[in-house]
Amino acid sequence: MKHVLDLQNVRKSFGSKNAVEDLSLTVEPGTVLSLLGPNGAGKTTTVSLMLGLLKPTSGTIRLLGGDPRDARTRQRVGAMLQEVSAIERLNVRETIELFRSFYEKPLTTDKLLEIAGLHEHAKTMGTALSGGLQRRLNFALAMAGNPDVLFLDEPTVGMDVSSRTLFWEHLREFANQGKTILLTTHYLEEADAISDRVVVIANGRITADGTPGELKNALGKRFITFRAGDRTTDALLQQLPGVDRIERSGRQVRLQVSDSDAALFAIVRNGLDVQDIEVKGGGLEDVFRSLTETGEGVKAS
Amino acid sequence: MMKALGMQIKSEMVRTLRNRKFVFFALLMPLGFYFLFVTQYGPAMQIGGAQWSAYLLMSMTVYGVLMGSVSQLANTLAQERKLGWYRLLHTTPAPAWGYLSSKMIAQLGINLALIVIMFLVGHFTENVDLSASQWVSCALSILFGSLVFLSLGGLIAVLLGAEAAPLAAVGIQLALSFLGGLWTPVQAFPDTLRKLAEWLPSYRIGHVPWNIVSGVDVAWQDFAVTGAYLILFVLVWGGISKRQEAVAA
Repeated sequence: MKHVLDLQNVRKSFGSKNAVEDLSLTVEPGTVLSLLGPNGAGKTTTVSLMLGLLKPTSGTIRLLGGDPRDARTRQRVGAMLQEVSAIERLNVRETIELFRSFYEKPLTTDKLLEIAGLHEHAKTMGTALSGGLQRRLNFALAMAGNPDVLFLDEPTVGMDVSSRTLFWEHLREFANQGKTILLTTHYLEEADAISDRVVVIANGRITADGTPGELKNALGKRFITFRAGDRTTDALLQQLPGVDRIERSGRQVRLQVSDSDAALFAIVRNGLDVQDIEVKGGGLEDVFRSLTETGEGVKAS
Repeated sequence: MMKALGMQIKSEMVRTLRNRKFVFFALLMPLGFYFLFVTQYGPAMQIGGAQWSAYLLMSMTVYGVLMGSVSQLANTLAQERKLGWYRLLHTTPAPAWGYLSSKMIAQLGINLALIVIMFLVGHFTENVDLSASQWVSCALSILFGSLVFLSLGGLIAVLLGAEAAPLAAVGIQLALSFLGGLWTPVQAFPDTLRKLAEWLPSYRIGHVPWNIVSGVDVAWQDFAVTGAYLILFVLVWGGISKRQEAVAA
């Protein structure tokens, strides 16, 4: 099958700083892909490259089989960028209608107002909307051309809970039509819930790529936390099976474990002086933390 | 593509007309000054072979177009770049040239409307009486001159950015109005100031209709200086924005 997105050995440097290094990535149609990474990892640069807003220093980028800068490609692409405010002195409906005029087969204004939940604000000036509502307007603008590929750079930043719920609902509906979504987000539970592929970027390189399940299995860490009594020394804890790391903050202890079951049984069997035992982890949060920690380690060396 | 350009022009016009500052500075203030100065010196006063009410009508029309064009373009261009709007537009299939040309066309349309309103007011309240060809050539020369002001606005936007552009635009507009003899005719200027005025686009753009209403032949120097400014502003503006875009890409 033809790829929606095809990046080959893409490198982008600003002066002497490399924002993206040797990035290769292909995306199949109908994928919901989350691009994760710490601040400054190169996510926004990568999205800008894919959209043709930036030119790669080297390497090739094909979007829908064509040049991302080509108007024919852009007919089929929608984008929600970070830090875009509404235009001054146009109301919501007028702003949407302006964007609709750019596309050959736009969605109707009513449909766009509906998916953005902005019907009651149709006559409000865009700049008078709250931050969350402005993000919704930006979503409507991204959807104006009924795109096949949707780029969302930190789409839910600034949205309140109800905006966010509505937003993910429409996104899921959109994905179910077989469309491709590429998003960056800080909210890992969101990425976990919606995406079928997660790509982690650190220092401009891909450090992990797979389904959320695969990444959690391969990289997720589990933690056992409890309050320790005086007799529970680090020396005792180190003897437990499957313990990788011990963190203490006062009497609160957090064990990073590779095998939570074995460690837990041993704690009980040995009758350690502990209270309020909890087993946590295995989420994308931990995958992300472990990947970006190593990422920072690489940078420091 | 034409549909997109049409919508962009319409949106830009709506946005400009909704801008209260624009309506005040480009229309209400010139009209107010017009009535004030006409009454002050009497409409029948002669200046350089023209009737004061006709001469001043041309000055104030150029002044209004100047106040509207420079600020409007400088502010919206700089603001929209800063707010990411310009970047967002680049993700759409709308052609890149459409953004700027729709602004220019919209602003020219509005300038033409400003000119027509000023002329109608002058004709019906102060009985400014010109031949049809005088009215038309005055209007066209001021409209052409407004291109210089628009490109100056564009230049200020790329040169100074969103923080400094609005204030700089106002300062430059006021200086050009005063030094170009739009408020006080250059005939009342000391010699040095008058020599300086002759090198300013605001004076030259006013000088064409002043000559027309005086029944004097239009001076080619007016078009030479105005044209030179237009080319200079467009080249520098274009050069700077190309360089900025190359850095950003």
